[in-house]
Amino acid sequence: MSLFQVQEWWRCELSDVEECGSGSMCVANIDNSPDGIDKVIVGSYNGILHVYAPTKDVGKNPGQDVVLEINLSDPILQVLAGKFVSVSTDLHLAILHPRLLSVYQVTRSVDAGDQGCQYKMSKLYQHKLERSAANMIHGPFGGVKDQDFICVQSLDGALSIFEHESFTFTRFLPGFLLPGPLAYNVHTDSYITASSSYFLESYSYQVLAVASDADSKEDSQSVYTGKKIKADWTFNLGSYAFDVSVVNLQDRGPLIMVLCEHSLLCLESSGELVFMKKFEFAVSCFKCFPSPDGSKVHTILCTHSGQLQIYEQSKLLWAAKSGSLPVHLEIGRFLGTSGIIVMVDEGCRASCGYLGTMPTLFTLPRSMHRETDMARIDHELSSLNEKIQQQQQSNNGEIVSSKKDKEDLKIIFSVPSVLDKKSVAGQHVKINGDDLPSVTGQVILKVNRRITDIQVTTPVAPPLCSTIGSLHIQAVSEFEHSPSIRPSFFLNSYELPSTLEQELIVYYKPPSETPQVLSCFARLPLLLVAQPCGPIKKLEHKVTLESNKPCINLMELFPDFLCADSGPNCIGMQYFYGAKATILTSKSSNRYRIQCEEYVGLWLITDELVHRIHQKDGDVKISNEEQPSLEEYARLIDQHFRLRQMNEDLNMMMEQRARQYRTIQRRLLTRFKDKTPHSLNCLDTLLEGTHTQLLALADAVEEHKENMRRCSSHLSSASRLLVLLTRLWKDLSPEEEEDLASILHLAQTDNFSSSSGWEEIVDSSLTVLLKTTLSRSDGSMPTQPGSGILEIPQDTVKVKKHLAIFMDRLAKGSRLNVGIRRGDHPSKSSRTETNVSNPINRRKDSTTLNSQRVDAELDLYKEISDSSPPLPTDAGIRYPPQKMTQQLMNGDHDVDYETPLDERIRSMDVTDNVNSHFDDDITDILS
Amino acid sequence: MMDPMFIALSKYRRRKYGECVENCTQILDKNPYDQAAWALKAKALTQQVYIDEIESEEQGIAEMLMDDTSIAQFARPGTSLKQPTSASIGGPSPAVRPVSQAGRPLSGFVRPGTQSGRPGTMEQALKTPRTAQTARLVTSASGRFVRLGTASMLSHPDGPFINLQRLNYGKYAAKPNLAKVLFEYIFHHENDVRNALELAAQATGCAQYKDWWWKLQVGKCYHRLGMFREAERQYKSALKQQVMLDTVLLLGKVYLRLDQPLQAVALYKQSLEKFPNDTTLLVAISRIYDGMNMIEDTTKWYKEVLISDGVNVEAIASIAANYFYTDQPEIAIRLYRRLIQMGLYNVELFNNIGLCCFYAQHYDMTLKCFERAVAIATDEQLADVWYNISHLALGVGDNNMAYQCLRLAVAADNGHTEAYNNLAVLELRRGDVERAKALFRSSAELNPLAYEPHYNQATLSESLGDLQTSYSSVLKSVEAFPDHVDSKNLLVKLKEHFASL
Repeated sequence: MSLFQVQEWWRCELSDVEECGSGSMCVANIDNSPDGIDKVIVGSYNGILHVYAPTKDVGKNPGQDVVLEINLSDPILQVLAGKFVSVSTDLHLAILHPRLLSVYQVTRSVDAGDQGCQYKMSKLYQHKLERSAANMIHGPFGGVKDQDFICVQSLDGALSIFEHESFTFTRFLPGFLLPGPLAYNVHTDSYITASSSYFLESYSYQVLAVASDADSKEDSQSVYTGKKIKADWTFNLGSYAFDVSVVNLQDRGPLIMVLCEHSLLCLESSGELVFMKKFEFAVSCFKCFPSPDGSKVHTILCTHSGQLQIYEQSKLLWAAKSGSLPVHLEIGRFLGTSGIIVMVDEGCRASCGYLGTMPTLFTLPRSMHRETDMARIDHELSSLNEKIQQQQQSNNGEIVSSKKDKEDLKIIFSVPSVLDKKSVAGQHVKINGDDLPSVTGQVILKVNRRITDIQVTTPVAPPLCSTIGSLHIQAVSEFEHSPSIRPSFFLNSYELPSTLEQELIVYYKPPSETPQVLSCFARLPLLLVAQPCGPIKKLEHKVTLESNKPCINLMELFPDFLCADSGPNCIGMQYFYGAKATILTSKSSNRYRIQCEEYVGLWLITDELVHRIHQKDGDVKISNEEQPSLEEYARLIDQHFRLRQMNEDLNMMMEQRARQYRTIQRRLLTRFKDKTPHSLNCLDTLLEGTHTQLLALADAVEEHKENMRRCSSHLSSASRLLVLLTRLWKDLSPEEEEDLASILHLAQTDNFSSSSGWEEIVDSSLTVLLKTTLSRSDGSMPTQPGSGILEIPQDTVKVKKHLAIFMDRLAKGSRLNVGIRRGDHPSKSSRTETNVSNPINRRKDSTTLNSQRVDAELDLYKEISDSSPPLPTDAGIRYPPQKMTQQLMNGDHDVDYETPLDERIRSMDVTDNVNSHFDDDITDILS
Repeated sequence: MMDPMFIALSKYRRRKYGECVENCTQILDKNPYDQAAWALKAKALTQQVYIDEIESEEQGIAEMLMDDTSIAQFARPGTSLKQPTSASIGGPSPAVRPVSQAGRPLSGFVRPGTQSGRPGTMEQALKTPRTAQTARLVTSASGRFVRLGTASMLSHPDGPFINLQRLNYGKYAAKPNLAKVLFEYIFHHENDVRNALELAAQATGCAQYKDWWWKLQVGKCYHRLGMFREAERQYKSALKQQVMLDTVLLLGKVYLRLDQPLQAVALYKQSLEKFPNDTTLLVAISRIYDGMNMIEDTTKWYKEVLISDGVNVEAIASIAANYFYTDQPEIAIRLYRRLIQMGLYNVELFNNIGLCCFYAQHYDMTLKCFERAVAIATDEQLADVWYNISHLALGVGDNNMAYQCLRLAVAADNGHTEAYNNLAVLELRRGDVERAKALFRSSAELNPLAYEPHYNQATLSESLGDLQTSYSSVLKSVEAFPDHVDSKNLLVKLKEHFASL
């Protein structure tokens, strides 16, 4: 950051792309012209040498300032000007190539005509180098007067000294790795270099020279022998040094300036630290010179951020912005003005400039805002204000508008009545035999606003299977395409499911509210579990239903179950697991008869029939004349109970065996631990035997569980049939039906985990019901909701008896919904136990389509708040200088009551009658 | 032909590290045992990710709360950085100078650490909300260093350059010129402090404990590992051999971690005798005073900084902020204008100039400045700009505009405490008590250390007759700002009332 910028006085134009680096430029009066004007000499890595004589009027004649341009066709690493010829004190030009050091003479000859002058460059001598050169320095080594010798440092750390035309000696620096900068201190006649171990080292010329004792051959640059070279002094810089230079002050002698990667150090010539300066920026090059009064050292730095800084010791004197990023910096004297800064950038473009008080030409970008028609702006403002006001009134100024009242989510769950063309069942389960059919439904979630954490589950009745067990969706918003889920359903074994009513449950989270649950039902087609088959006249189990209208043609009613033998009065089907069933209609009376080989198979067909009849003709009233038979039902209960008892026994046995196993183990362990070995006493055989028993028992339990599950499913089917028949028989209302269903604990599945079984739950429900609603003494008996603990009963006599009494009472005309409704009904509690969802939040959704309403209201604030950015995570890396002055912005915090609002507004407030007491408060606090 | 090594060196010198690495790789392909190329490549890779150890520290919650390094757990006032608002020693009152979400007065310049402050308890630290401009600390500083050191995970087609597991540290430690490069590579590029420490410990032994640089590096490793006492010993030993700025600054950092700001200041002042007018030392002193809320000293030392470095942005901005909060906006304007002239162009600057102009009654400039600020602001800066414009609107009496500005501020940053508070006050003026209550509550929740929403909530509840809420709120207000007279009066009033019951 700087106020001023470097004034460019001259710059050269280059057509070609060239490259150069540090050391590629020197500024000197190389042609030794009497006026003493400096020339700028630039050598590029491409091998081209430029000599410029900068003049002011560059604009008129662009080529005039180019004095010389030669392609030496060998990369130029460094150029130096010095007194390199023994016979004269004129300046000559030394050029360092990778393997060559040559010295040239540059001369100017004035032409006879008015054509100006001509410059020539002629080679005086050259040295071949045996090692690749890195850099070089010159100076009056060894105290020679008015002459300069050259020292070349090679890339592998050898210093080679050349005294004009003759090569003197080569020395290797100890502990060398990378070539560092090199400087020559005249006062102590020593070389100063920085080593790779971050040390600044000073080697005396004498020491280097004396070390050469075996110099038999003059021109051998590859001498290894010699005394060990030792540095005069070293100083630990602590950082890699880029550049070293020696400044001679009149007052206090020479100072060594070292430019490190992140700092600048100043040392005495004896190696003591004078001062140092740390930089927060990267420095590309520097130039040191004594201050005018000769007491202090001045430094010009050029930073990689394009700034020129001038320091007096460590104090910043001046900062200016420079146009380019120089790699080398010199100070020269041109046209009688000394102190011109000469810079060359890496593209070899040299320029001269001076520091002026011209401010940095930083112009602010023009703001997009233009003054426009005031009337129009006023109009726009008022219309916007109006809109805002309307909005505030309509949504009562809530910052986040709420759509609480609207439904967040609509589920559309539909299952077609036709099966999939190609069953997916085979992909999911391995069953031997034919492929079982599958049906694919569709679930569409229509959302009105963004909801998150959606979970779709399809709880299936056991033999049925669904391709999606549970599906999680991260988030859905109203703008996205509503997701469509296609679950497939199929049987996974040749058994009978307890119901074809498929439930779909969706849990979701609306924004900032409690999670919600929605569920809906769809009916799976009967074809999923049965296939058409010829009707059979007489089957063991049957149900007869009566209708108030003539029987509907069965071929119309069951078009999907037609086969060769079926007719309008009879239709047959066969469950995949084997049982056959037939529906018959009576020609004379309005009766339907359903018969099946097995009792449990009746339910699905009866249900389907009733459902289809109602669908066909809503007015048809189906009834069942006779009391539903409990005989088969009781048998199922017995079977179920037996299985349960067996289960208990098995568990008990397993527990006992396990205990025995542990005991044997313990015994064995003590035996093994014993110091003195004893015989095992056949304990190992015993252990193995018990283990086998345990495994056998576990297998039995597994098998038993499967039986149990199947039996439970059958019981559930039978219970459902009982409920249906009772409804048709007694013409129960939907509420009554629901109550009855909950009493009979329909959804009961194999609940192995819960301690209470179906029998005791149903029994206790029935008992309470008989004591209360259905009691003969008109419900005056006090309710005793059982003992509270449900235990597995001794036998099923009680529950069967209670069922029979219950049916009796119903037959005698008792109704279910008399007294207690949904109160402390014990059946209620059992019901909520099995329900998956929380009934409070539960809304049943019809499967019918419901068009989505589009909310087209304008919501100004909401849109803005929606577009707020996502919250970033932890604070990242911060470089301090990049963020500045942020803090003041939070301004004045306390607008609370102490805000200096002016009088006018306060008086307006007083007119607000509703909350006038607040205004009193405000004035209180203000005072 | 040019030697490839020379080209690589030249590229390194010109900070073209990527090309330098490529050149070195080519040399190493030809000759895998070229130590010079190996060292240069390591140096270039290090420089690509180099961050000065002195600048890079941000403390995480874990470091701050499970801090068993500080000398005194309950320090005397004026000797610790831990008390966020120590108004008793002449710091600014929160009524005048706003505090950050961590309860520290806002500084004029964002540095690592100015945002976070030091929470007193674990509960408070965890309660500080994570919002868009979170003041919540990163969980642990080590997490940040992991992120800093991922340079080694950049995919190199042929594996990492140096396989640390297979290095024989003893062999390298004996070669100082390789060891130093290798250490910097491990420390900065690989970010593997343990291996770096092993190398440094062996190398300092090989150097017969005479190389201060190795001691400094061992100290740096100890510092990273949280062993501050050991680090201090190394630094002090290094200082005995050679007084260097880096060593002094790192030692000062150790003192700050030990919560000994005065000792750090003493060290810096002592070093100033050796390095007179050194900017880095002066800035370090100013920062410590800033952290201790000693405004006078902060300004004084920042002025010292400006004497030796006239273009130090941090110093100018901090002095300007201090002038602004001590009711001298005219001087602040001049300083900020200087920053604009120096070529800074950002939202904060325009915002600050706008505010200064407003308080110095240059109303014509104010709107222009804010207009520019809004035009170039990103979303997270926008909230603060709108918030300040709302002050402008309040100042000219346009409550409606103030309301809308505050709503925009909240829309841009839904965690803007102050905007919620002021919005609540405006709602109250409109007569909507319920909404005002809700807004006060969210404001108080967002920044528990600001006293205004608590106090406002207390007054509101008190006037509604809900004395219990009022009492609990006013307690929080007094806790956040112990010298707030109105809160104390209210507290006394409530206590009298409860006593009379």
